[in-house]
Amino acid sequence: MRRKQTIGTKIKKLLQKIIENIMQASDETESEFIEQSQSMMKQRISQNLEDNEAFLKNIFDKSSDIIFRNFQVGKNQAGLLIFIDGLTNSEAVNSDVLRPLIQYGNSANQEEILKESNIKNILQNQVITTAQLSGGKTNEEVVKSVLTGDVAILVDGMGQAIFASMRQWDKRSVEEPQVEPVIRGPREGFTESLRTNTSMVRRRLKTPTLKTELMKVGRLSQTDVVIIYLTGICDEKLVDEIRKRISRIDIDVILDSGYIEELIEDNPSSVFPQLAHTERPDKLASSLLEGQVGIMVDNTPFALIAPHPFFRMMQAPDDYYERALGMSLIRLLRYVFLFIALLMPAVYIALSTFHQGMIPTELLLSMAASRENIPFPAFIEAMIMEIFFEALREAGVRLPRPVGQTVSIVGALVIGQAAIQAGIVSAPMVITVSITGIASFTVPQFNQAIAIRVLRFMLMILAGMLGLYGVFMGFLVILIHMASLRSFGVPYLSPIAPLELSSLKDVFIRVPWWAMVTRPGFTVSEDIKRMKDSLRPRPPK
Amino acid sequence: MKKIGILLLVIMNAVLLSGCWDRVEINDIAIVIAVGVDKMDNGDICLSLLLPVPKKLSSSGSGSSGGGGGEGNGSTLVISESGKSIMDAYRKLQGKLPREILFSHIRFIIIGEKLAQEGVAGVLDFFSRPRQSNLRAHILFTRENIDEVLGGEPGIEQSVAEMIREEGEMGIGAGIDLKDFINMLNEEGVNPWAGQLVKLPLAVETKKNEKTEASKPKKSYFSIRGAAVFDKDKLVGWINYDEVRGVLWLRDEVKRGVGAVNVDVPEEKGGGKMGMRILEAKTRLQPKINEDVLTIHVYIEATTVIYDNSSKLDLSDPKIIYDAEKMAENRIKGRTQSALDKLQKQLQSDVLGFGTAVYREYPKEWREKYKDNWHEEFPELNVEVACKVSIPRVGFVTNSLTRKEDEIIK
Repeated sequence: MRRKQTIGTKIKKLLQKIIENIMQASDETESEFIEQSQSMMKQRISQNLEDNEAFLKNIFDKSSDIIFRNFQVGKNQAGLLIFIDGLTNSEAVNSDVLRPLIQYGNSANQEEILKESNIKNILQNQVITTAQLSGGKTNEEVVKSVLTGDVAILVDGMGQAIFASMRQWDKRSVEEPQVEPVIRGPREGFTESLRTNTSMVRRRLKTPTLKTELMKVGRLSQTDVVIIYLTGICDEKLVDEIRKRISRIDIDVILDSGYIEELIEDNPSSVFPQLAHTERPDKLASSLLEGQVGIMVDNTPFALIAPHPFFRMMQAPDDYYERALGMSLIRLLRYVFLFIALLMPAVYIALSTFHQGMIPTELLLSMAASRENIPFPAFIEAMIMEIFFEALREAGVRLPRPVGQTVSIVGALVIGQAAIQAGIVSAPMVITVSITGIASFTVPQFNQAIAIRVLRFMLMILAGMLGLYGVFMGFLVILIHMASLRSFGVPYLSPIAPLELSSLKDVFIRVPWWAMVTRPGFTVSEDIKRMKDSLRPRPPK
Repeated sequence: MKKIGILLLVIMNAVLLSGCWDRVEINDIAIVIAVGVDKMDNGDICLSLLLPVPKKLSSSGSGSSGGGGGEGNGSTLVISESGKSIMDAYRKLQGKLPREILFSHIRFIIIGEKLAQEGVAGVLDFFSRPRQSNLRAHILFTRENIDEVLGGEPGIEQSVAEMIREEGEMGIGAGIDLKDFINMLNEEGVNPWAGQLVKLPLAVETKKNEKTEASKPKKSYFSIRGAAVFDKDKLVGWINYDEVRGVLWLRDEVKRGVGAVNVDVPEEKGGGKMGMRILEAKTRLQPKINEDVLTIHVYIEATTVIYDNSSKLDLSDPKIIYDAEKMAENRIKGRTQSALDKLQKQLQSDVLGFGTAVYREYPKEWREKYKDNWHEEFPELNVEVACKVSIPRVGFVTNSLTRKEDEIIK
């Protein structure tokens, strides 16, 4: 009893020190203590079950969800089950592990069990009926596998542990993607469960060349991160680079793929996102087929896609499922609205305060009529309205759904009607702001749309100070920045700059599938052919 | 880090110190939509501006009390000032107005007869030199009082400026804008001309009724009817509507679709009238020097369709169509001839571009012989007008509706 306690207090103190030191983050002592704790953890599992139990109970101190279940194998051999309540299928634990273990001893020969060497074999082969079984020899392995949801089985005198994998926890079922809806196309989206997600991609690409490399990231979270790609299509160097960048990450926790995105970007200070995220397995699969690499993270429905050049953001999944002509026109419309989202308020400010001569006369007169009683300069007016619109949008996201609708109605009324009637803002400004607001939602990638919004405000400030001159200087600066940007070695503006004619078939327009013979060259290195050349449907001869 | 700080400082200074200096809100500018210039009796230049009053412009949705609108005269304001020069007058006007004058949106410039006779170069310079200049503004001349023109009845348009600009764009009269005028002024061998604004009654009186006439003030409006003819930048005289049509034919400026040719059918063919609409018109000037005698050949080709026919002619007969074509040709020839007579004999100003045509065809002869004394050569010039009209269609109705079969002259 005494011995048990001393070991326990020792470990406890040690762990506390480790945690303290991690908090302090002082490099020299930290590594020292980590070493010490690791040596403790790396110790072999003791032959004595009591020692093991004491050690583990100290590690899992004050954890109500961790279940320690003592039992007897056979007549008098003590055993211990450790698992986390809620992460395991308790019915299966009862029927496949606990019941056979307890019942086994009654019929078996006592002498056999006592032998250290064959306990494990007997239990594995004759007693436990779970499909996935594994073994471990150190304390560390026990702790890790218990935390990931396995059932750890320790038997007195065994000197090692058996892990039965019967993970089961409540998952959200597969639902329609919330932020990337389509009119035509698959309606299933990723969930928080990594395995469900990889299976969704696997279902779409039934080929052994689909690789899913598992990495664990996060000191405390031990989050599963899967690098998913197609060998033979994607560039091996790209996968190496991504693997290297992810393994560089040393962080306590990964709660969403957004953490990883920010930690592996090429240029972290740029407003433009250099990775895409998606909720859609079909989108991820199509990206893999174009030589991109997916990064899937456990506990989040958002997978990352790298590299991600700028023009990819104008491609929506629908483009490929609906007929080519219509979707090409819609894509062109998106480009028009991209410019509107970026430039319209800035150009409005510039024209109305610096270059009135450029506005058509009739329009100028009606603008003059509606601006007659407005107390603010056009720049301030635009800023008020834009900020108000962004606040409305943000409130719409944050507020509970039933309230959200009320907010948008009240907001629309306040902006649209009352503000104009009160003479605080002019009607043309409201029109400008609302068109801009709508335009920013035509960009399929939400994170790219945020970048456009940020830049819009920058251009508005330049327009308010320098007029059109400022707008075009700002636009030029943005263009230069984009041209210098790279996403995992791929120039951000490719395939426009550097120009790659064969890839233009899927940039401003989307050619029909029978003409989409090759994959885009800027990400794919080998296996460039997508299909046979002559797939264009024709009437029979 | 320090470098970035310095860079930021430079950018902030560049933007904040240099920015905003010429910023002006829309409600701080006075938008000029028409300008009038004339010389007063004491020799001063009078500059008049037509300004819309934004608060009185009808705008839906604004929360104003909503009076004013509709009656027209309330929504625009005519303001004028005189000075030694046009710049002087402009400065005084700016002092009079609480808002900054913006000339970018002038729809037309109207210049009075007196100033035009003394030369318009100064005025044109003022309106084309600054960056606010609008070279697409129509330039017009008038014998009327400028303020009366600007303050006139806008008709169905919102302002006089709009009304007259739209009329100029129609292309029936002389629609010359500032750019055209300056081009003509600078081009070799051509003199400028421009539209003339005249006062007309709004409605034609069909019956004399003294009672109503006394109670109702007679409404009138301004329209581009004749044209002013210049020698260099000085006004030499006016031409009337029919002569303007002739000039347009000769200058190849008859716009398709709007012009009309009216033909009187001679008595021996049954009399009556025939109206045609011009579909296409093309004029080519061909100067020829033959044994030192310069002749200008004018080839006019036109396609017309018959729009109304009150004659007894049978339009289903190709021969009759041929006759109609001949009549239209004569009519066009007559018009051009009357314009030529007036320009060559009376006004002695080449607004037709004959000089330019000669310069293009015979550059050497032009420089040596004609350039310096074109003014004397032009009135004596031989002009041969050849005209070809084709009528491809006669419309849905072949013959006049009321004519009986036996009345029709075959």
